[in-house]
Amino acid sequence: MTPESAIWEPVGWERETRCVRCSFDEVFAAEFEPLHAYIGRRLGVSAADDLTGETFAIAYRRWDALDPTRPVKPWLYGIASNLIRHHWREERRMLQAYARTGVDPALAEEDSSLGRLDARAERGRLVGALAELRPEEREVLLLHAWTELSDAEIAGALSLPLGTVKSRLSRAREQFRNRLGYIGQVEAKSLNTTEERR
Amino acid sequence: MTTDDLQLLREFRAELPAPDEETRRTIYTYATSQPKTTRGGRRWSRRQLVLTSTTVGIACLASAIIVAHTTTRRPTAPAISPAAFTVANNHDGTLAVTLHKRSALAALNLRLARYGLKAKLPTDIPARTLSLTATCPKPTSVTVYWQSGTPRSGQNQVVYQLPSEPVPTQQQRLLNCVLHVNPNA
Repeated sequence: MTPESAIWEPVGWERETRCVRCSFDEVFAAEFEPLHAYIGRRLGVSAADDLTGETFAIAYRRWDALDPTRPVKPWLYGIASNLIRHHWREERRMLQAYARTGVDPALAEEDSSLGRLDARAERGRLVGALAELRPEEREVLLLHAWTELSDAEIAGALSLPLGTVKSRLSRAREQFRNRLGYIGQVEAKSLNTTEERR
Repeated sequence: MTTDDLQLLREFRAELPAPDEETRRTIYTYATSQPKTTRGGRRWSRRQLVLTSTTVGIACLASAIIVAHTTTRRPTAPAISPAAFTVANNHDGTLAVTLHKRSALAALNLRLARYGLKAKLPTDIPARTLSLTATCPKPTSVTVYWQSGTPRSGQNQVVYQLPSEPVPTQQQRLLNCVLHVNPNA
């Protein structure tokens, strides 16, 4: 899937490669699954089908106007982020429902047999902490964690200054960790109380 | 807890199953059925558009205010405004003082003090642009006494007469100094 015209440049210390002069088909092959998973985890699988299709449709329409020396991945995630931004209420509702019920809505809508109760308290804490973040901070944190984009690439994708991305990421991680710890403490306390009553 | 949070997030994302081949094909077909645009140049983001339009708007507004202010105030005014006041030495040893702007009173008082005159022109001269002329002998010290203040309508000149009584020289006061105020000048 790597023709001679394509250039795969090493990025970062892990020697990960990014496609720079690739055709649309190459980019689709390389980025379809990660992008679908990214959107699916944020908005659910059915929304992921729609928004992934829309993201690639927009990318295809603008393909000829794209600067060939520019890495495609941040640009692609920038398109996806713009589309996801219109659905931040659904995202928050989904995360809150997951945190409350323990049922993963992203999996439940795909297949009811997978919509099992997630017994692991860790997931509930994690999703609850995500739901508490501000949308713009959650966006930067999830791009950082799930897409392997660098801070500079996230800044390019979201059309934000690098400093803004760094500060949002730092704030989001701090709040996320604090929230995880706080929920963990509350759960441990309630567990101890229950055991003491017994 | 430094990397645990990111690790947890990555595991959370990895739980989602990959889309099947049919979904992939459908999405690819949908995406590539779109007409390509050949528009050149860069596309501005919403943020850039808002910033640029706000900046341009403020600049236009400021220019409009400045232009309106300068044209309505004095349409035929020269580029350089005349002096707010003038103090001229006359041949007979008197000073001719002309005040064009009321706001320049403090500066005029300072200038008179530099001439060695202790004249203190009052700041309660009637509002509006006026011309005040004083023709006074040049003493070493002067105290101006005002007798009346407000010009009546129809009058284009109000004369402020200083006391005509002889003033002891040791007090270094000014005699017969007449100030003319032209309220509509």
